[in-house]
Amino acid sequence: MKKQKSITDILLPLGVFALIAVLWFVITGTEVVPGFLLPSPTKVAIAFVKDIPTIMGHTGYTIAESVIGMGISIVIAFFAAVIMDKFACIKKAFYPLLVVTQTIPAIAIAPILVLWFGFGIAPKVILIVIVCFFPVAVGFLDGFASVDADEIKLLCSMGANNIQIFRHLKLPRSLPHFFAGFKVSSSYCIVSAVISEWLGGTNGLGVYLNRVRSSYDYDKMFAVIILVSVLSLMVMAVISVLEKKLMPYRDK
Amino acid sequence: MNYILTAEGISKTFDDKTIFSGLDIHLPEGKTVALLGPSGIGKTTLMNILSGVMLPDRGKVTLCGEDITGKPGHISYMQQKDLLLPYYTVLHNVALPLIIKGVKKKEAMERARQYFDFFGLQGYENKYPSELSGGMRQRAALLRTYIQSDKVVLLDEPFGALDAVTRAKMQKWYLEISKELGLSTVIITHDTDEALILADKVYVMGEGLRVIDIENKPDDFELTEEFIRLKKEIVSLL
Ligand SMILES: Nc1ncnc2c1ncn2[C@@H]1O[C@H](COP(=O)(O)OP(=O)(O)O)[C@@H](O)[C@H]1O
Ligand SMILES: [Mg+2]
Repeated sequence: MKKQKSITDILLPLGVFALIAVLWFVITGTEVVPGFLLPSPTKVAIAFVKDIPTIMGHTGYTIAESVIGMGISIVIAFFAAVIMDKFACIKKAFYPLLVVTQTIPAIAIAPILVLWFGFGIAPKVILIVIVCFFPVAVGFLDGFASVDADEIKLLCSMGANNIQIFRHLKLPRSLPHFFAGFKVSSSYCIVSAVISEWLGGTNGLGVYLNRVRSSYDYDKMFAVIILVSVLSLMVMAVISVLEKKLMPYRDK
Repeated sequence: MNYILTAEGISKTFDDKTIFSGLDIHLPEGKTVALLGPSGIGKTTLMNILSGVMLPDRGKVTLCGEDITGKPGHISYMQQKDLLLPYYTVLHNVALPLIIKGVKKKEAMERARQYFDFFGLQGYENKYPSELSGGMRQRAALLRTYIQSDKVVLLDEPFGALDAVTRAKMQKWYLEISKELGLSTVIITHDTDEALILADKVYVMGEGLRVIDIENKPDDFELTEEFIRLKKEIVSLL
């Protein structure tokens, strides 16, 4: 099925963003709000450019944590889903636990993880895994379950074994569901890393944010807040490209 | 008579419901046999048993004298839906039975490609199933079925979902290619005309199983009085 975006679909949200930017300019330009509380867009841009080397160093660190955390999440989610798909009783036993992990507030366990695992990369990666694992695992599980019984019958009639059924039916069928979960996870991923760094660390955008907040550099803070959303958007864009590459048939 | 596929004494019960008991089916080599009956009578169940993906409660299925009861992979089976996998190209779909048998993907696709002309699918190799019309999808599914086994093919209402014009064309086409390829076919249908047009022998599944042999079909068989007579006979059995 082809999904064409019309021009208004693109223009409308762009217009809203533009409106917010204009409002920001106007509010800061007229000094309705004091400059130290809400820095103007130009000041934010200047702060960003001036501190680029430091910011980039921290950004690299945050991205590295996110990629490692996400990678581990996907690997664990994949194997957990395969096992749960194979053994219904394991799925019954562990699925509720998975749901419970989703109700734990990330911000509350981050300090505990720091307490347990120190100020290094471990507590950050663990937090990302806790947050990102679930949507990906559920994506795989739903995907595996979406295989039609008649399709399995077809492969059986060809003499296929379980691995071949997995390779030719379950895996490709799970891809769209996996990507749906992956996108949700990835939108939490960078934010989780930043929160975790904020609450205890030596490197990363969270640490930087915390520092500039202590020194009242709100222009730098705003710069990094925008950077974090841009990074999250970029991650989602990369995933979309990957999705197109792996599932070319979806555009037909 | 030389039978390539036989099923003898087949019985199947789901829960408390006996679908059939002591059923015999004989498929002569190079011929087409039709299973005709109203829906819910157990035609698909019988196909599942013949193909080996389902075990009968009792009875035996043999292919060329070899017992294949409950052993899938020997004869090919095209189910009611075409079941072309949406994420593979037509060529990849058609080559799948070879890939499952352990042929390398590239070689399997090369071998499958050679039949595209014959099945009227030339030019569709690299398309995805969603880009094909109903008739084309059916051809692709038939080619996949043929590549799976060129001995015996089981077809479960292959043309049921097509419009009347396309269906008539496909029936003619199948008559030609099955003759040319020497296929032995078991075909399910609930359409009396289709059974009479395609089959050399019709098993009518109604109250019990009745066999109707159709020998020496003339050209334009569907316009003869014999055709009308057989049709009346079958309708009275259903
Ligand atoms: N796996 C199954 N479990 C229980 N009942 C089944 C199963 N498969 C088919 N049946 C029942 O067997 C009967 C025959 O079904 P089917 O072989 O699909 O009929 P047909 O193909 O002639 O329409 C139906 O009443 C159906 O509900
Ligand atoms: Mg049926």
